[in-house]
Amino acid sequence: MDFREIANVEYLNQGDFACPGCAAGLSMRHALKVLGDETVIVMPASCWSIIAGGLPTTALQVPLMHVPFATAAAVASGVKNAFREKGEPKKNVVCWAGDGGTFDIGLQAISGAAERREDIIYVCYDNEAYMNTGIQRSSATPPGAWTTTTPTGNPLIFEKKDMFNIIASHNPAYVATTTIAFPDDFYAKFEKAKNAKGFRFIHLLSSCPPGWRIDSKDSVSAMRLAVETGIFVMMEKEGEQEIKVTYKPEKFKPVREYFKLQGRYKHLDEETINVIQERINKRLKKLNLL
Amino acid sequence: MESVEYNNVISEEDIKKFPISITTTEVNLTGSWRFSKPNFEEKISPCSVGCPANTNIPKYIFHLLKNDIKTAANILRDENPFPAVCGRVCPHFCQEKCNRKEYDGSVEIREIEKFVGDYALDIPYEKAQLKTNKRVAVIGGGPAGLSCAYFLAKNGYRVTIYEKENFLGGLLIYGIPSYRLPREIAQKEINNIIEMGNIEVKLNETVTFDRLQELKNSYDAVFFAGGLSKDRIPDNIELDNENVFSGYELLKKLNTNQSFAQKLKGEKIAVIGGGNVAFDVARTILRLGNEVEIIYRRTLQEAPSFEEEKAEGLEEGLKITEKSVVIKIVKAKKLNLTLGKVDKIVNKEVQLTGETENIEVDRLVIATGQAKEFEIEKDDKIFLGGDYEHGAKTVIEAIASGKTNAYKIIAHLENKPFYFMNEQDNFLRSKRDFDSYKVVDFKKINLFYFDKQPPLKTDKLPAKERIKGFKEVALKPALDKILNEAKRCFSCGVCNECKTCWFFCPDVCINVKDGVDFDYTYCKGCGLCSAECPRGVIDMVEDK
Ligand SMILES: Cc1cc2nc3c(=O)[nH]c(=O)nc-3n(C[C@H](O)[C@H](O)[C@H](O)COP(=O)(O)OP(=O)(O)OC[C@H]3O[C@@H](n4cnc5c(N)ncnc54)[C@H](O)[C@@H]3O)c2cc1C
Ligand SMILES: Cc1ncc(C[n+]2csc(CCOP(=O)(O)OP(=O)(O)O)c2C)c(N)n1
Ligand code: SF4
Ligand code: SF4
Ligand code: SF4
Ligand code: SF4
Ligand SMILES: [Mg+2]
Repeated sequence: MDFREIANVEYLNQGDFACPGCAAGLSMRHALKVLGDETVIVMPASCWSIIAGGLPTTALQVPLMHVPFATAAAVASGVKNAFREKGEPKKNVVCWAGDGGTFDIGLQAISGAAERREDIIYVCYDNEAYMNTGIQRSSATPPGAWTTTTPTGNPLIFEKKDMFNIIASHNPAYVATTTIAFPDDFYAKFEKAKNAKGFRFIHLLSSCPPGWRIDSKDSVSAMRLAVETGIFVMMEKEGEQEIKVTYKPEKFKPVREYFKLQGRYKHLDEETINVIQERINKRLKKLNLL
Repeated sequence: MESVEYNNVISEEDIKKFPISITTTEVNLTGSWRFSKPNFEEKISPCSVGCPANTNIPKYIFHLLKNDIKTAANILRDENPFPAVCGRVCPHFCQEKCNRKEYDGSVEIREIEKFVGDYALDIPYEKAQLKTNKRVAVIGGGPAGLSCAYFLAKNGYRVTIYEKENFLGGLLIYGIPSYRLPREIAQKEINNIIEMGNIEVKLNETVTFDRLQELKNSYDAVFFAGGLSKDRIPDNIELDNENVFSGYELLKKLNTNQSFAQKLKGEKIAVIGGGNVAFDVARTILRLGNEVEIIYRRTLQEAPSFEEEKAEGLEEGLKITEKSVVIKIVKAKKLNLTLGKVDKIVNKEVQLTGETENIEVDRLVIATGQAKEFEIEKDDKIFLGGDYEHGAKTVIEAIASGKTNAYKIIAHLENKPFYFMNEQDNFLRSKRDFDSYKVVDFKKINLFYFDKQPPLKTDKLPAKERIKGFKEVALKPALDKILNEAKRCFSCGVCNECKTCWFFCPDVCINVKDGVDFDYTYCKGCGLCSAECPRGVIDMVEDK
């Protein structure tokens, strides 16, 4: 991707409260470059509620509504319909929520909105735990990962919830997974989401230096490795079309390389890593990637 | 960035009732969170270290890709006044060091250099100003002498070149054959140097040892770069310049005397030697319609000629007899040569197997090396350079030596230390200066940003076509191919304004324009810009 061709306009203000190297802030910055100024953000409790700045400040150049945890998709549906009634059908109403607010707490509202074919975009920035309240496990936390509520690692009996397929089973207008570490993929998917009509869902992998126990400078390379090792697969489904994997490396790297970079995995022994690697391989085979 | 002020849409009363933001997070000066800060520092690419003239390769490639070929040409010629020549004949030391070599093959720097160099042929240099009344004599108008004159003249010195022949250029004109280096190319680069001003040329002036002492008294400094013009001929062979020639002399004749060249046709000629001269003379007489056989005492693989030359020579039909020496010559109507098979060579001493072979040829050419015409000692006024000083090497090494000596002379005459920097026009002064620079090696390249793509392959004239005449062997690649190749360059250590750092800054603290500016008021010091810069330009440094 030629970064020189990206517009210089910024909708993210300086001075936000994101930790150094946080991918959630970075992802918002670029999502808004695609979505543009006709965008309204609806945001449940999450790190982003803090990143956005304390009253009376805001980190965004577009309107942002803070809403109760479980309600994002429901509020967004209402806002979108209000705009339509007002004669502003072009407004992009976008939920911007964490994994806790999506995989766990907001799920019923999301399912409802998807089933009603609400014309909104739902973005989940997934940092794989409840980061804002101190790194508690969520149903997006990968097996093996340390959190404050899984001090010896998230038990292997769990699997990261398959949000992509949960949404896909609602037959949405668009559903995709991506990460800002792959700028082309990220931009293309936000572009598609913006142009589609109906319920659209983007699941972003979003590194969190304190939660993942990584150096802030590695936060992009960590996400990149997640894709290159196949623990996170970038894919999409447009309307009725088949699921499409949008990035396949020449050869997948061993997941060990991804774990090595992160303190949250440092307690894993060889055997555990092998079990996880096997699960990844199984999924990749299912997706015809191995 | 402009702050959003909602005051005019929302009344003071409203604000009391609803929690609504009325200003931006720009009130939070997040720069105070920082422990280390990004620092923009361009570094040296390994290719620039490899190039004896230390050309700033990524920098001129950057300007070429920006569609500013004129600036590219200037950057290139700031270091080397012979890019069109070197783009053709240089053994590309730069490419040996290229970071891309380990990845998918070195960038074909030489082709890019040739392209920019050819473009520059028609761009005259800015007229040189006279800045001092000090005068320097340059003896020998080959690449070393011309390069020295160029850098001296550019820096305001008055130079007189004394050249033995009635033309300038040395081996560029009478050594390297025109199918590898078309005359007009070398000639144009020479003319551009002379037309820059401050240089007087005296042709047909052979400077003898005694004359040199005179010049030393009438000039402030003398640079001697007379090359190696004495033939080194094996003891058992005598030159007669009728049937038995020195390769160097024959090549000179063939390259400068058309009618002489026409005399050789349909003959069988043997060439002794394995260096560039042997191959060049052999390929030249092959083109004049003769049958040629190279006789070399070691194996072809060991022959010191450039690999490219050997391969092209074989394609053209050169016959090579390896591990053989001429042990006897009988002059009859033709020349009867007795070749002895070489068993091994110990300390330059040839040991024969005893096996022999007789061949009959019309003429014999001896290309077994050159030596100095006479010995000169360096002193505080006499500087030596080029092949004369460092032995038979290459054009770019002669140019580099001319450049280094020009700056040695300036430093000497101006009483400055040798390693003074002249920021205005030059990138690096000498190898030793590299110690104070950081070189960006392969490990520092962020490979994520580069897809694998094999290097450009240059087309050549088919061998059958080549031997019909003296057309240039290497064909010129089309513009899009050159630009594509230029895009393969990682631009190691040199910012090419790719904006990757800008893209990945989560805090909107980077502005890329003629370099990179950081907004330290808000930069949190995350280091992403530094980690993601594909080419190692940004370092994180401690910040108190
Ligand atoms: C056949 C051949 C092919 C080559 N091919 C290549 C190649 O492909 N690539 C490459 O990089 N290198 C090549 N080289 C080597 C390269 O040409 C030389 O290294 C380079 O030209 C040396 O430059 P120079 O200025 O030191 O000497 P020269 O080029 O030899 O120039 C010396 C000049 O001094 C003049 N001169 C000599 N004595 C006196 C005197 N007493 N008074 C006044 N003037 C004098 C000479 O006439 C000449 O003009 C080749 C060499 C030969 C012989
Ligand atoms: C109803 C309700 N329960 C709990 C909270 C406390 N809370 C605020 S943010 C947060 C964590 C959110 O986690 P996630 O959605 O993953 O976002 P992250 O902080 O990781 O970005 C919690 C539990 C709340 N604000 N509201
Ligand atoms: S002169 Fe030779 S070594 Fe220098 S850049 Fe050109 S090809 Fe490379
Ligand atoms: S990639 Fe470019 S800058 Fe780097 S060594 Fe090769 S030619 Fe030089
Ligand atoms: S990322 Fe690109 S623009 Fe930024 S410093 Fe590196 S080369 Fe320059
Ligand atoms: S990416 Fe931005 S915030 Fe991070 S160190 Fe660089 S300039 Fe500072
Ligand atoms: Mg979270």
